[in-house]
Amino acid sequence: MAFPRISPKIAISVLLLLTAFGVLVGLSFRGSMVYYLTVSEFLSKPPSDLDGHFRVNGKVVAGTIVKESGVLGAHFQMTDGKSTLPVVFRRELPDTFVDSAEVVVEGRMKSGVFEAQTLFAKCPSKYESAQKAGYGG
Amino acid sequence: MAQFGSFSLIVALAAGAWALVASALGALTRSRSLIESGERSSLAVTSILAIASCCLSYLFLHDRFDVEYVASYSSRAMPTLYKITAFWGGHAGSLLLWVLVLSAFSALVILQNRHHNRTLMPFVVATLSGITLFFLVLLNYTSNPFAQLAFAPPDGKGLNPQLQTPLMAIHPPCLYLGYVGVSVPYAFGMAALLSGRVGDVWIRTTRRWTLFAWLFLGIGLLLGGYWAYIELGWGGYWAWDPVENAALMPWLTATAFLHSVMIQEKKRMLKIWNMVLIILTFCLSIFGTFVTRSGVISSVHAFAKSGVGPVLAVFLGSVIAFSVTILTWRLPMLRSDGRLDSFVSRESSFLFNNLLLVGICFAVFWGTIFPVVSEAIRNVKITVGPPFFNAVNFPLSLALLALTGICPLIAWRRASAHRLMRAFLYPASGAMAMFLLLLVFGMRDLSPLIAFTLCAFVFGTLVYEFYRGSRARQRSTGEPFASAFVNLVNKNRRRYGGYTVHLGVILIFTGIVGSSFFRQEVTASLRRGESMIAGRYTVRFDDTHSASNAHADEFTTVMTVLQGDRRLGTLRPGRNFYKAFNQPSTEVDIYSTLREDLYLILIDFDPQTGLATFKAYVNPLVNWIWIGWVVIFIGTHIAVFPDRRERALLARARLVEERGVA
Repeated sequence: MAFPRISPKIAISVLLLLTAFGVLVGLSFRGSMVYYLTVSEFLSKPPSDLDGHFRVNGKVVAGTIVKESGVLGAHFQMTDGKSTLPVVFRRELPDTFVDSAEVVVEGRMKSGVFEAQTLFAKCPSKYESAQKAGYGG
Repeated sequence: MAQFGSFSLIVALAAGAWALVASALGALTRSRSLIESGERSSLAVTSILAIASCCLSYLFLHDRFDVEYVASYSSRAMPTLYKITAFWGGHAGSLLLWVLVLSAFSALVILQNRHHNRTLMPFVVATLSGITLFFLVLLNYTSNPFAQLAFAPPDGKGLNPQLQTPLMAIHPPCLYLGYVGVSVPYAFGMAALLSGRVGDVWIRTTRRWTLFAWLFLGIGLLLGGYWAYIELGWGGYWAWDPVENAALMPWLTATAFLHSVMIQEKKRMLKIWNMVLIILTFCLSIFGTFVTRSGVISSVHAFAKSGVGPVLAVFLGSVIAFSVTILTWRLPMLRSDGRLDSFVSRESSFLFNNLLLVGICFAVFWGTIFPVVSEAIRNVKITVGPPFFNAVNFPLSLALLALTGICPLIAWRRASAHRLMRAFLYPASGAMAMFLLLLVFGMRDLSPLIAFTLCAFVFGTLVYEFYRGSRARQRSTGEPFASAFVNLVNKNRRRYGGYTVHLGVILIFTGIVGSSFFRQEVTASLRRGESMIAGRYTVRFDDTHSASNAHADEFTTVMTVLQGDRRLGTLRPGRNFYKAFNQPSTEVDIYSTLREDLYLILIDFDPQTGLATFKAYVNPLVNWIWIGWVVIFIGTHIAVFPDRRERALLARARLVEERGVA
């Protein structure tokens, strides 16, 4: 054979290691899976499992960001062009969180409002699409 | 100038195509003139691409906003430094940089090997030209940095202010030196397979290239993490973002490769495995480019979809198909000469080291691409976040760390129980002492306890190794201890350079564990004169400053840091508002010591009420991460220059090969 001839002891420990690895990956995986949906997918029929925890992406509707003095975070509306979702986020906002920014929020629905525990706003390093719109004419 | 740039790209494409054809034909027919023609046109591609790059820089420096790429990433007001670095601020320029670096490396390889490796070289040049050609096709047909707009806007959009730091100016080139550097050992590996010279010449010849690529991938990771830490203002340095993962994966497989080639050199085993690793590393660095640039996997970096995705996927597919085919074809030649027979031997510890590194890489890969896979199969996107990566990688890294300590202590082939006991005695007692010390100081959390104990163990083994070696040399030569130490390292650069790198790895690990498990965060709203408590520090909000210029409104707070009554310093966290980008930017300030960082950001300031909201993080041991990288850098420098024995081995391997040809 082309493979190195290996003693049974080593072969068995390699197998054990691989099994342990598989179990580790599998368990950690089940524990941290989250559905990633657009706003309208989320609103139409959220899958019922995974304890109601979701990641939703869309755009901040311009002019809907409401910040209160002395309170962290903001209320805002999020859209994918078809449906709109009210969101509340109560931690410090990233700099990239501005009107029309693309955002990804992770959290759950609570009395009609999406309570986000994490919020990513897309890093503005690339402006190519915006550029095309801007210089298109 | 823009037309000239476009034109030079077309010429480069033609020359690149000829380099591929001539080298491939030359390799098959062994025609010297074809081989030389291939090498010459490969050198020509390098010069033409250098000219094209000068063109692009010229366009940036002269504010030629009629060129779309310049208008997108530069503006009149930008400092000259950032006009130069805006070259790689976007997709098309990054590709040009990629291929420029690749062709420069090809040229270097050709010049280095004018009189060596003559059987391998035509295949090497053909492989490198094939890769170059692919990127030239992309540059010419999908993303031309010289594309012109129908009109010239009065000013450009400018580079994002968060990217206008020296760190971000050099981060992409470093990463690219790493990504592209991997191509050289890959090309030699393929050449070894194609030519049938599958001895260890290809490995010994490319050892420095591999180390170089590995080091720069590492520096790229470091700079990216450090930039995120000081610029982004969330108090951390690593988020398991797809783009970060993409750079980590080839680094992991390259690390595995650097270790397993030693087994091939010393024991003539694991030949197939080494080929697999270098193929994997090369594919992962292409994949890295692909993830960063295609927008297939959504990420906070969110590079715009540029249409390169499918093309890169096809290229990646062809690379895998090509590599696997010739590997399968040459499989019978790659038979192992040795046998892995003892469980407690250095060989088997290398084997487990490799399995762990590839395991970590696999877990990261799986977590990164799972959204795409689940969408393709079940039509729903399912993601996994940092908890997954942390849960899997922490135990695996601990096992890897333990091996780092165990490996140098056990002998090649088979270790005797007696010698093992003796070697383990001091490091293990040191680790035990550390464990008890941490318990006494009140650390009860099991994970960091184990991690720090292991770090102490590995540190102990390294000190022991350096001491034992110097001591033995001192005895046999009669030199004083200090010069015995220096000579020891100098005569075995590879081994002790490697140990120095391990030392850096422990420091990084210590920093990561400290800052992940013992981080504190506090948020407070303060008026002028009020204070907040963060860890051992009292932070007093003293004053504010406002300034305004053409680009930005800058708002800064003045904060006094105290420990008890002792004044430690002043921090100035603030918020800037960049007009061109219609976006605020958090300006972090850090009070930094070797023990911990006090990391302060201003979240919000209400001018009406005078109420400012601050967030403070205390990140223990975080600076040891950056220090660890410096140690790795030093260690790699020790290891990269071959010592006398290393050179002799390469010369002998070459002689054997050349004789085989004649």
